[in-house]
Amino acid sequence: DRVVPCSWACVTAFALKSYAPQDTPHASPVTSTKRQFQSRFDSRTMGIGSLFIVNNETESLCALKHWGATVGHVSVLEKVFASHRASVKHNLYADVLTTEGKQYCFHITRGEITYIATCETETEPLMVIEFLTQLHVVLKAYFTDVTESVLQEHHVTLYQLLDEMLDSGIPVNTHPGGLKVLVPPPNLLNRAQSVVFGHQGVLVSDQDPLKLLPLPWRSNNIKYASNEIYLDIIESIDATLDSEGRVLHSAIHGAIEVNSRLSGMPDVSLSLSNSHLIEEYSFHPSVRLSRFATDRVVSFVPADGTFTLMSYKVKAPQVKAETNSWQPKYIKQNAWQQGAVGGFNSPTTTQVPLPLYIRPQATFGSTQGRVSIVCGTKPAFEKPVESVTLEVRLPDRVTFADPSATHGLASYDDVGHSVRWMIDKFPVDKTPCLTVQVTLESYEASDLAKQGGKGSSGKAVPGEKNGRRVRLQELVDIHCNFSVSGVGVSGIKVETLQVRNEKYKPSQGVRYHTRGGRVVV
Amino acid sequence: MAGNYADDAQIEEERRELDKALRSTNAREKLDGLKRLIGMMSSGKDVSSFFAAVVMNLAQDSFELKVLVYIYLVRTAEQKADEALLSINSFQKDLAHPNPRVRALALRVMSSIRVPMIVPVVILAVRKCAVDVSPYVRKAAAAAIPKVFRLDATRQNELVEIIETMLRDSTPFVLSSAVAAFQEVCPTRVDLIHRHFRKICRMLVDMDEWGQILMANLLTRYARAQFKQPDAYDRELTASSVARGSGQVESPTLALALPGDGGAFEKQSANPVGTAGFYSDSESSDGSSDASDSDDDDDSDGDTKKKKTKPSKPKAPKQNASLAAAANAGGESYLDDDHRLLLRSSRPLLQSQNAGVVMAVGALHFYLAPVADLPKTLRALVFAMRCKPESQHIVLKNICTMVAVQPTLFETHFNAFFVHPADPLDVRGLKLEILTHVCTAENAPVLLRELQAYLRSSNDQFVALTIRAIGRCAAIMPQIATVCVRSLLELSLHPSEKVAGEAVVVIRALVQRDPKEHLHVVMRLIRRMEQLRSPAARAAVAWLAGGELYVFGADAEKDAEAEAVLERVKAVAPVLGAAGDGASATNVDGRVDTETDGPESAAETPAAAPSPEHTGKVLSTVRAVEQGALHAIAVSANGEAKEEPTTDAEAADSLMGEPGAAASETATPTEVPELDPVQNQVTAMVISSKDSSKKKDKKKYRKEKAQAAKVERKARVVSAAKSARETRTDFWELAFAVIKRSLNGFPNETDTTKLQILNTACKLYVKSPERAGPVLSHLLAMCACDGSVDIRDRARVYKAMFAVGGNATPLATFGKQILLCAKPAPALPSPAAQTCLHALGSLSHAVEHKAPGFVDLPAHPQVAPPSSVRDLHYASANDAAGKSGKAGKGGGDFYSDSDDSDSDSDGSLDSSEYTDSENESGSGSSDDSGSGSGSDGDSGDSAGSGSDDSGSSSDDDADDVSDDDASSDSE
Repeated sequence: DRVVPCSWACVTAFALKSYAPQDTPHASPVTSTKRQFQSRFDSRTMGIGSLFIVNNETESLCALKHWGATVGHVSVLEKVFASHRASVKHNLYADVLTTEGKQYCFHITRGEITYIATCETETEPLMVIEFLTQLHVVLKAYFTDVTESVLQEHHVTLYQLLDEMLDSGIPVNTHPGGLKVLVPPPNLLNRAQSVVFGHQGVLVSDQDPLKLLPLPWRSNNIKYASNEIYLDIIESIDATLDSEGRVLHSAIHGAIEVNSRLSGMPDVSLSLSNSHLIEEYSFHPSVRLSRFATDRVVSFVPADGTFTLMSYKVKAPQVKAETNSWQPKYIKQNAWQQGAVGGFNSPTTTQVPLPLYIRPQATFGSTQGRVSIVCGTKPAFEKPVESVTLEVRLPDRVTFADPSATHGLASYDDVGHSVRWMIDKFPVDKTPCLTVQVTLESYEASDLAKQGGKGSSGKAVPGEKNGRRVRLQELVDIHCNFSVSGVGVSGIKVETLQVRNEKYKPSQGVRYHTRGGRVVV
Repeated sequence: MAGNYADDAQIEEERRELDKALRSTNAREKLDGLKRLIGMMSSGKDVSSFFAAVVMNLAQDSFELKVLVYIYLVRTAEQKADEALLSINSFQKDLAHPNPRVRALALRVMSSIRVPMIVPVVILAVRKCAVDVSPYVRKAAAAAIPKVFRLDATRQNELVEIIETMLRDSTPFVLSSAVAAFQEVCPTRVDLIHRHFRKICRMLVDMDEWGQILMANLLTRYARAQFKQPDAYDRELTASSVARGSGQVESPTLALALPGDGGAFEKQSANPVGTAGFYSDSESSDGSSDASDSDDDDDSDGDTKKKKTKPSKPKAPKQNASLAAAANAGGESYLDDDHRLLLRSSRPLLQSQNAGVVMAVGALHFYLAPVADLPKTLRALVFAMRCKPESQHIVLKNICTMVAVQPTLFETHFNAFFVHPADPLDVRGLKLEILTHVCTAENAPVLLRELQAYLRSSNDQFVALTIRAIGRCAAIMPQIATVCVRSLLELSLHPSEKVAGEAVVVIRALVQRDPKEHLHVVMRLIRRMEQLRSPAARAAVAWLAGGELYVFGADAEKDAEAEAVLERVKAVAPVLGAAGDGASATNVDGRVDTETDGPESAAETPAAAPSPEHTGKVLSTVRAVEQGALHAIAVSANGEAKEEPTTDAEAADSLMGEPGAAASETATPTEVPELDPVQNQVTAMVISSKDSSKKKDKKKYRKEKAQAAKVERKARVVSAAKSARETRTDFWELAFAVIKRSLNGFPNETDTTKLQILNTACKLYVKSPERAGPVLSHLLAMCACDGSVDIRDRARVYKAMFAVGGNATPLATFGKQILLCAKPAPALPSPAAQTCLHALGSLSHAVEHKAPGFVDLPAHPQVAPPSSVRDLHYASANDAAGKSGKAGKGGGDFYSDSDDSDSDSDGSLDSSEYTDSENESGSGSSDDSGSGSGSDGDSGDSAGSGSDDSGSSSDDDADDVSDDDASSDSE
């Protein structure tokens, strides 16, 4: 009854199919003979063959474009939707690669839109996936939010963008800043122009691209009345807790988002305090890598608008916990465990400054069950923890759940078998508690149903053993999200931010923000 | 076309309106019409009927209109090939348009029209645009090449020519498209790359990310073909590493005991603090050595000869900081200069935000960099995996292969591979696979705890995978096996058939590795057989029940070796006297002889005869009964060479490989040398033994035997411990009871389970013919009317062997050996072969089969081809560059080390005229920074170059870009 999301096995099965052109039925005799001829050589066409943009909720097609031969979209979409549905059903990350006929389909989902690219031959899979990701970024920069209706409204811009971004199946130019020079975004100004002049607003700029575009990500005629640059340092904590609330594993990942509204060609250099904590990093293409390698200064010519300047991973925090004898290589595994337990009460020695605690308790009987979760903040954090969301994924055999919370909102979603509990702000005096009464499908019933087919071998299992089985089986996943604004958890801070090469003095701002990334209990 | 909509009047009317709008004279109406048309197109409707009306609009001057028409044209031209030809003229006109944007667009659309008839025209246009002044147009030309190639592959030669010109281009923007074309049209023409190799390496940093991916692939292939292997480590998944991956421990290829950098690597991984130091050192020294390298490169481009005289200077002195680094430099010292250039210039790309780039460069480094350099690459990969959930699967898959090749590399990252509850199943599988590979004694406790947490998941399939992973870990590290087996035993009661089955199968495999240890586990498991429902589990338990004899057999051998050498001598002596046959003279047989048990002694007499005959007999039986082949072979091997497992295997192999007489012949020679050592050994023992002790031992021995005979008539074992015997008895009783009961449901079992039950019953029979006899005959009777051919055959063989109510056949003598021979512990293969042999990062790797168009990576040459091929164009540019090289140092240092060298050499490579002109102008360097920074747009650092670029840019790309560059720089 369970649908396996990805079908690697069928990949192999499809691969051996012979070359059978699926082209349009309108092919003239000339082209068809040509195509037969071509098929002998066609083995090296690489890159993306076709691209579909679809709405995954209504399962309808928003746009499609072919770079190679036309691909029948119906079967491809079927496959993708099936895989998408499966991943939604099980609350998983979607897989990205499926096959249909001789097409390899890559697909990623963003909101209600799914982007699908197909290719027939050897192409770097990550290139395709990254392209789709980037396509979404570009569309977002153009249309602010990407929905089916928006895409249909601006289909001309969309097609032009696709034309510019992908030539002969190979991604070419994917920086939103650069593309805006070539294909002006549909903004108010353009629309006003088209009304006033009775003529279409500037749909396409016909200027020489290279005059305007010395850097692929920044055109040089950007002008703002007030020059501003804002940095958001967003750090997220990944943590895995065990059922007693101990931290098993944790890591801090951070990203610096820049919102740049600067005129001309500024040259920005950013130096960070505590930059030695950064263990691993990746940069926007605009950052001069050698500069960072030598003196740890992030020096760049910013792209216009919002972009992610860098993302980093903070070193495992053994630096902070000097008193603790934690070993990076897990040689003394027990010390680490004790450290985590000890750190739970005394925040000074904690390795993972997780600002809140979660203590779940779950008991399941044969037909009834109860899950209770206590959640609260740790006093160590000076800023309040806000908008905590706990998603409790209950086992599959739960038929109904009735959540009730002492604080915040709780609701049950019976498709994904999960309970959502949202707490905006923690009350001062009491700790919130969530109690979920669940009704379960009787285990023995399903057990017997299975045994029925087996015939004589299934005798009644002693009740005591059954109880043990159940306890082993049931596991509640709790996914937690929270945010703390105004504080960076790793201690990485912006020291200085200098803008050179332009005369103006921009206003600057830095925000710190901490998020729960993938906190799992 | 119209037929589709004939019944729908409204649509028909819409279409008419649209047609009218398209033919309108009002530009605005036209635009509106076109927009609507494209809207229809994008929702998948057929719009080719408007073709004529649309094409008419091509002649319009409005750029917007053109763009829309082009969008339409590309989509529909294929269906209207003849009408499409009409549009060619207006394309031709646009190709001469003053605006580069229009030219590029025209070329792009023209080449996208998939009508083979226009190919010659397109090629002409491409050739013209390939030398256009605007890089934008040149890029469009480069991108057009593969499109033409797809349309008409016979034009390859012409296209290659164009590619050759385009590869000379020094704008990274253009070059990346040119390389894409190269990859598609003529990937084998390595000779085209030689002279551009260094330029490409240096430009790598400045290209757009997509170009970097393509380039990294190209360079990987190039370097594999042109450079020697960086060190002696395995880079590819070989058969041996696959075997290791499936549970065979420590194959020699993976022992990191290599001279030089191997030692360094060991040190590094053993000492985390040292590792950190090494990283930071190497990083900082990378930075500085990069700087020095850039100087070096500047110089070298200035003077090629100088470069040749100091080939590998820069790295060595800098990295002396730590021992590891020194060894690293030592390891790297024999790398080709260009090889190092490649590695150095690609390293910064690991910090890209694009996971594709990281993967491509990671693969490049994995294949080409010395192992000591790899940790940095791997960290980048692990990081990329975390940052992009979408790419996670593919990155993991690649890491998985890397791990299978070099398990030690990822040890430090192992907690990055812990499974997240939202991971899809295949990602989980990959993670588990990686975890089992990186499992070491140090991280085993943590790993096990983590795996045990997974066991509580509600996804049965995942739990089954986890069980398998635990089993694999335990197989790698026997010290944790006991813990694992205990926890798995719990799981054998899991409600899910699949999970329970998997647990039992894994237990079985683990138990077989060390049977004595897990005796109680086995007994508990056998008691539970009733409750198990999974056929695999039942089969495994049935096997375990029969495994009793095997368990104690191994036990006995150990005991015998340890405590009772003398007894053994005694036992062997009569056999020695009788036939001089050492091979079958295991202590067991000998002893039975002395005991003289009725039927058994008869059975043993032929066994004492020369073994070649036996082989022959067995072989004849083999031929007669095909199904019994494996067992018979095992017997012959067993009987001949029990002492030495290797010979055992050989004999078995030869028997299996060659049928009939040939096999027996091959078996004989392996047999002969076997005799001598045994005999020697025996004689030596006889000499050393003393009479008194002999007697005493004999007495004791007899006493014991008398006791034992009560329980087991065929005592193979000389074990003094009474308790052991008792357990053995218990075990037998238990197994017997279980088997007896399992007969009830026998017809409902699956084939494998049936076979195992049959085997076990036979084993029990061997132990105690009287009690097990009726059961066995009943069982054989049931098997004889079974549906499966295999089982009927097996039953027939056994029937013949044990002569249940019939005459003894020659086979009977081997009954015991057939059933009780030592079986190799089964490997626990990974649930799916998660690794494959294709090049890392490729689509073929991701889908585990050869995608069309995939070409295997070339192997490293034994002897590196001369590096002089890459010098070619520097040599010709020698003079000019020598003069111009000096001033360029400080200039174009934006992202790459030195752009200047490329462009000036490039300017001069084409012909001697250019070098002349450069000589005259004398300031080639400043133009370099102009072009270099113009393309990557350095505004701050190279501000100085802006002043004089207009004067000198003429010789930079004398053929094309001059005015363009000048204009962009003067902005």
